[in-house]
Amino acid sequence: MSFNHLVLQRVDQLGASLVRAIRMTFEVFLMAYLSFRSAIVHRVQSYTTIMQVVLQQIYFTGWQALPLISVLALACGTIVIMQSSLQASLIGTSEMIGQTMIAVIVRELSPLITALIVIARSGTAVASELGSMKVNREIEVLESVGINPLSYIIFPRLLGGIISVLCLAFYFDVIALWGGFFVTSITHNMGFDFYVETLVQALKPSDVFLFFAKNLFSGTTIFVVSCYQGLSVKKGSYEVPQVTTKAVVYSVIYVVVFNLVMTTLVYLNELSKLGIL
Amino acid sequence: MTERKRIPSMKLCDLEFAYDGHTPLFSNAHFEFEMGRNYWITGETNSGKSSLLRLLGALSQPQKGQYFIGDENVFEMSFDEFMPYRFSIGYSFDLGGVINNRTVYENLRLPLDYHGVGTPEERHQKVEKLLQLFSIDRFSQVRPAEVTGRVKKLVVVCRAFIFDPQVLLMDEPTVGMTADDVSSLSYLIEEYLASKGLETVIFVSRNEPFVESFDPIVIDIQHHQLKKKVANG
Repeated sequence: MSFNHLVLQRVDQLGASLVRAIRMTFEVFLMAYLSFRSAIVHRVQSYTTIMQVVLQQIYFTGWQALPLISVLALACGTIVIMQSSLQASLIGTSEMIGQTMIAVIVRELSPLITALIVIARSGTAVASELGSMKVNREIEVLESVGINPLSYIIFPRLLGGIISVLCLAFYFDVIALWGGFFVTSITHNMGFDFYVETLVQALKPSDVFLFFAKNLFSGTTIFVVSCYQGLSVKKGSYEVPQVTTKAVVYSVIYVVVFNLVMTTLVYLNELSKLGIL
Repeated sequence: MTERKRIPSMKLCDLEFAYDGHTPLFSNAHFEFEMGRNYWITGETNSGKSSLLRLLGALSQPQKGQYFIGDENVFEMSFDEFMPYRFSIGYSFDLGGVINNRTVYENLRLPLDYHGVGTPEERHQKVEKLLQLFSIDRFSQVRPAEVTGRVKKLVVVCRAFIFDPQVLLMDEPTVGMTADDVSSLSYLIEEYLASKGLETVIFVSRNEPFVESFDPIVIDIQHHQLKKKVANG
């Protein structure tokens, strides 16, 4: 086989992979749209029917993740305050502490780490649960008695997941910003009033927008990708771990790429406001 | 609850169906199922008997062909558009078919609650009556993982009757059942045929005495076609 042929073959494979990825992205977001439309617009079932599942999802995804999020948030907050206050005091810019904390914790670490924890804990659970349901024909059972899987299975998990991610990310911010300060205050002498003032001054409407945009996207994407992969099981239980892995990989890619794009857009917007761009 | 629609007839036209990577089970197959008659689908193993029931229950889509209920093509309907007919069809699975995170009682109660059928007391009575007929009411609050295959099968069969269907699609309904269970099932089907709006039962079964008691029309799957078997003599 000639070198040119090998190169063309490789390009062909890359193109096919890209087409598959684009098609999957389209199908995933179509599933999210259809499940919302089915549950909210068409009201195929009463909300009380699905509330039990929503509350269960919030409990598993949100409440049970609190200990892990607490540890990570405390660690991140402490590390960032320590490093930034050390560097800031060396160059005499201690008042930048608040901006650093908002930029690093609120804008970047809290959405990303929260998403990664939820992917690892809940994304895998949802994908494997739905995969097992597919293998055991439980999805068909629901269809056979007129229960719409989009509104009964996917929508409650989606809604519960979005609420959980938003709450967990907010909790992460609180623990990181306050907990980190209190841990650091053992060794570092920084006034609490001073710290709060720098935080308040640094917090802008764009930070709130970024918080909601990133966490809403993460919450939606993680659960719809996990549901999509779980429901893609066709032949047997041996596919369940495979689709669970795919759910994790695709969720991470979507979340990281979206975070990167949003940060870049906000960064470019800031530069243009400063007249640099 | 969505208003149910009566099924005037079920007709398959130009049906082509195959599972991914497998040889076709049906090729340009045609058949019309009339209401008021029972049918028995026969054929060799893996000839497509269960697949045919899945197509009739709108649980699978073929590669080609039409499935008419009256003059409406089911394969062009969305999930919600098919709902009125869904309530007229009861489906009993051959394997699996239980919802594992619900108890035996909830497996039967869920469809009634979801669609708001009757009052809560009526739903309870209906579920209890079905469970008591097969003497499995004592497993009401137990989950499927903790019961035998026989009980799971009975749950699946009972659920097929939950909406008082016009058409029953029964895939190997007596597998795993005791003789008493089979008698109870026969009695239940006869009761529903006589007085509860059931008009047609389509069986896939190896239990010849059980099925023949309903005087079915035999349809054999041969060479990817559906052929009505003519009685000898």
